[in-house]
This record gives sequence, structure tokens and C-alpha cells, in this order.
Amino acid sequence: MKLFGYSMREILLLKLFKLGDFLIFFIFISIIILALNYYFHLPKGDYLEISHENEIKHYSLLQNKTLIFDEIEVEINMGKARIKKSNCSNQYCIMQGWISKINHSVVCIPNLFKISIKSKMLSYDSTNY
Amino acid sequence: MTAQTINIHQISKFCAIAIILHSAEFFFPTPIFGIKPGIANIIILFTYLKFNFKSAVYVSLIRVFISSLIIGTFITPTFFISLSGAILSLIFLFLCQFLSHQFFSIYTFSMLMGLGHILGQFIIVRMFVIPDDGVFILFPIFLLFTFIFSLINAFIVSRLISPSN
Repeated sequence: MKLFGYSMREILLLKLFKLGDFLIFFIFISIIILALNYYFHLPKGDYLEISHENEIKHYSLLQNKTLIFDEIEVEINMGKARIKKSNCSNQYCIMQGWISKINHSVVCIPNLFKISIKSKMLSYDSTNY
Repeated sequence: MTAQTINIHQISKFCAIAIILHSAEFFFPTPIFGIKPGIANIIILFTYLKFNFKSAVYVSLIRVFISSLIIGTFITPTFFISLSGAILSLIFLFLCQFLSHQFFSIYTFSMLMGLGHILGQFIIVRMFVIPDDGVFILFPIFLLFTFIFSLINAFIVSRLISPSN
């Protein structure tokens, strides 16, 4: 197979690349792998915050439980949570599925309902100046 | 013509090419917002290799200013993100000069320039546009695409400067 007149073998065997380039490749790829690793392993949350009818309630995430608020069912399953049932027309809140990472949240706009995962450590989700 | 006028003539020629590439790239459809191939960097690297670092600085900065006037993003956040990316990319190119040319080829140059470009953009975005650590979630994705596109760009530059052309 030829690419712009060079065979793949020539490209691979230092015809175009020099020794230091491979060092830079290695550093670059390891940075990418580390960053992706961080990206897929965001810290998990400590408790679930549910805001419903201007009330904010906290629930532990380390349990198997189904909570019922009027029309909505929230399911907690050992570290993750989701909205299981809702009477809203679009059902977007159910399509969001499970959440388990800090500051992730699911909202149901028609019912003015929100669940979000928080941690005990103080964290800012926005700053203003 | 004196040597200086030839130099100005050459620089303006490369500026024109870089401006066209940069402006055309702005209208490229991209699947993820902000990911662009950075084809104008080909011209900057080429200018650096053909002439010197000073001409590359001219081409890069004139390219940013003029193409932002053409696109219509002059003195908007987009312009400042682009400018800071270009400046940090040039600083990385300046540091590349001290690398041994025996061990490092233009592939290293291109990759470090790309890295400088996204670092500059992320610094400005984190400071002024989206002042939240959440933007760094996008960093690995940008890094991955920088790696791919800088390799392609360096390959094109290596074809442009090869003696067979």
C-alpha cells in the first residue's frame, strides 16, 4: 500500500520520522490515555439531593430503594439513581437513565422536579465575577 | 529588488494563503464544536522552515487579524481565543528551535505547535469565556484530535518541502 508515493514500511521505519519523534509520540499518547482515564473515572457522589415542591431532601445513595413523590418514582440502586416513572408527556427525564457522578442531575420540567448527586466536600458548580 | 523587498513579497504571499485557509476552515462543518484541522498551521510551519522564525511570527499574527476581519469575529471572544492559541503555538515553535534537528523532525514541531494551540485556547476559555473547571472535561478529546491532525499536517509539510517537489 502506497501513501503519497511512500510505502507504509518507509513511513514506519524512520524514513520520515526521527528518533526523538517517537519520544514525543509516546509522551503525547500517554497524556491522552491519562486524560481519558480521568474522563471516564470522575469521582462518585455521596448522597442524592431531591428538590420537589420547593423542598430539598437528602437521601443516601448506598441503598436499594424506590421513592414515590406524587406522580414520580425515583429509584436508587447502590450508588446510582434514576427517574423510573413520570406522568410528563415527553418522558425526557426517564430517557436520561442512570446517574452516578458528582454534579450530574436529571430534571423533569413539567413537574418542577430535580434529582442531583452531591458530595460532602464543598464544590463550586459555577463562579461569577 | 533588495533582499528586504523580496522577503516582504514572500511573507505577504504566504500570509494570503494562510488567510484563505483559515477563513475556509471557519466554514468547515464539524461534528464536535471547536474541532478543526488547523490547516493554516501548515503554512506557518512551512514559512518557518523556508525562511526563519520571525517570518513565521508575521504570517501567524497577520493571519489571525485579517481573517478575523473577513469572517467578522474581530474583537469577539472567538478572536481572542484564536489569538492566544496562535501566540502560545509560536512560543512552542520558538522553544522547538533549541531541539536537536538530528533527533527531532517536523512531526515533533507540528505536534508541539498543536499542543500549544489548544493550551492557549483553554487558558483563555477557562479565564474569561467559561470560568469553570468543567471545560477541562473536553481536554482529552481535543488532545486526541490535535494528535491526529498535527500528524497529517506535518506529513503535508514534509511533502511540500521534499526536494522531489
